[in-house]
This record gives sequence, structure tokens and C-alpha cells, in this order.
Amino acid sequence: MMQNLSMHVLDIASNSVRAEATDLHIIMINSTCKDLISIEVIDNGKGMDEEMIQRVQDPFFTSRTTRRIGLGIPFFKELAEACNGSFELESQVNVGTRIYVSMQKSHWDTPPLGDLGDAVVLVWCQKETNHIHFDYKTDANQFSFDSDEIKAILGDEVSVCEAEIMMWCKDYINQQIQVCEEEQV
Amino acid sequence: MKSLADLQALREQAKKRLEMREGDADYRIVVGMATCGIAAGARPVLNTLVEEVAKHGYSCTVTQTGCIGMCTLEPIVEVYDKAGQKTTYVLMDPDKAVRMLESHIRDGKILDECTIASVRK
Ligand SMILES: Nc1ncnc2c1ncn2[C@@H]1O[C@H](COP(=O)(O)OP(=O)(O)OP(=O)(O)O)[C@@H](O)[C@H]1O
Ligand SMILES: [Mg+2]
Repeated sequence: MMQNLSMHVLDIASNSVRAEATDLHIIMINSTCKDLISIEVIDNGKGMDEEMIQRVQDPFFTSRTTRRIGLGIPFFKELAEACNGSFELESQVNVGTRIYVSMQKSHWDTPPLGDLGDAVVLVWCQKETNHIHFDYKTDANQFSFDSDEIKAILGDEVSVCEAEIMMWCKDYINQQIQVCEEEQV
Repeated sequence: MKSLADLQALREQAKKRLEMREGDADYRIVVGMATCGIAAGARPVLNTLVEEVAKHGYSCTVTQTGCIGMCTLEPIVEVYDKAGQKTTYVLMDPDKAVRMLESHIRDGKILDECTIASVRK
């Protein structure tokens, strides 16, 4: 169902937006030396209490009213388990949430990265007033995307959700990721 | 290589396009982007809508929403007209999205073959 990692990024970060976060930090590590890929999403949303933290890891729980089964977090946890990695979920009510998944990079079941630029920009466009920071790290390189930097250039008249801006941001992020990967060889 | 400087030129381009679209948009398009929608392929549908609307200058906005509540019919796209009247399109893909825009947004004719009414028959 979720063919690549960018789908999980989009999904998990969408939870943050729905939890009224205004500040989202997405960190992706892609390390050949450590044979590790990890995804971490940190937000300042409304958070969850202890009981909720336990319950959301069960696929038959959701706070939604439209549907009884929540899928996002259980899928993400399953990914870690299938790929010889680990899963961490920390949250505090009215403070925020941190969710982390690691995978063994060389594991057969570890999915490809997918379109990360697209995922980051789509999350931003769910609420364009949010601040989004995306870090991508390899063994030798690092790239940071910060929504404030883009907003400073765009000003108030043009929204990031306008087609040409969205597409540019996606391509920009993907290109920078490519650069991080290429310079390693 | 893209650099942040390119963005200034694009900003001007977007501004021009927005100035031509005077007043409020005629339609509001909403795409369901919960886990079920994303897994069913809502991303390419959303991207197609955004790109085609800009390309043809259609008078509508495109936004995302969470779970619409009918997971088996995802990707779901809702179109609201100025009066708030809603048309629900189900099991969408990029090709259907293009046809829906041409029919509904450009020509004002609901694309019956893709609406929820067509699958419930
Ligand atoms: N970052 C977060 N901050 C606060 N609450 C969260 C966060 N992420 C998840 N939750 C809570 O956990 C519940 C389960 O999340 P999960 O992604 O598994 O399912 P869902 O979002 O409800 O539905 P789906 O992802 O299938 O569309 C959410 O409904 C929400 O109440
Ligand atoms: Mg979710």
C-alpha cells in the first residue's frame, strides 16, 4: 500500500498538521556507513497522553469520526519491524510529538525513498502558515530546507501553494537530495 | 542547478497569473489526503489538478483535506461551486482529473461517469 518512504513522511507529517502543529521538523538520515535509513518527525501540536500513545499503535484505534481504523502510525511501526529497525513515539499533551522510525538500509524490505520533495511541499500546503524544516543527511553531506527562507523571497502576495511555486520547491528539494547522494562517491 | 534566486522570477510569473484571475474563483476543489487517500493514489491526482489549473488558468482553487470517510472509493475529489453545491468524484486518477476539469470547471458540465452517484447505482 505504501510503496515508498515519502508516502510515510507525508502521512505522518499530516497527522502533525491535523494536531494543530505550527512548527514541523522532518529529519531523514540516509547512511551507507551505518547501513541505516531513518525518518523523524517532530511537531509542537496538541500531543497525546500516555494512554493514547499506547492506543494509537494499535491499528484499530483512531480519533477520527469518519472511520474507526487509523492506519498511519501502525503502518509506520510495521515498516520498522519489517526492515530490522526500531520505532519510537514520544508525546506530551500541549507540548508536541516526536515519532521516529529507523530501517536497515540494505534490508530487502526497505522501500525506496520516493518523491520526498513532493511530500514535504504537500505537507506545507496543508497549512501554508506553518513553519516546516526538512533536513536530509547522508554520511558526507547535509541539506536543509526551511519554509521561512522561501517565504522571505515570496513575500505576502504569492502563496507557496501556487502551482509554479509548489513545483519549483519540489524540484529544488529533490535536486538538493540528489546532490547529497552524488557527492558521496 | 536550481537556486533560490530563480524563485524571484517565478514569484513575478505567479503574480501576473493571479492578477488575470480577477475576483473570487468560481469553484473550490478539495482532495482527500488521509492515509487511505494517499495509499490509493491521491498524490498524483492532486498534482495533476494543481498543474492543469495553473496551465489553463481555470477559475478554481485546489486544496487538501483529511479523511472524507469512504476509504474504498479513494482517491476522492470534491468540487464546490459558488453556491456551495458539492459534487463528489470517486476512484479518481490523473486522467479522470483532467477530464473532470475540462468538463466541470471549463464547460460547467458535471462529469457523470466519475461521480459517487455513478458507482452507487
Ligand atoms: N503528531 C500527532 N500529534 C497528536 N496526535 C496525533 C499525532 N499523530 C497521531 N495522533 C493521534 O493518533 C491517532 C492515530 O493516528 P494514525 O495516523 O494512526 O491514524 P489517523 O490519522 O487517525 O487516520 P489515517 O492516518 O489512517 O488517515 C490520530 O487520530 C490522532 O488522534
Ligand atoms: Mg494519520
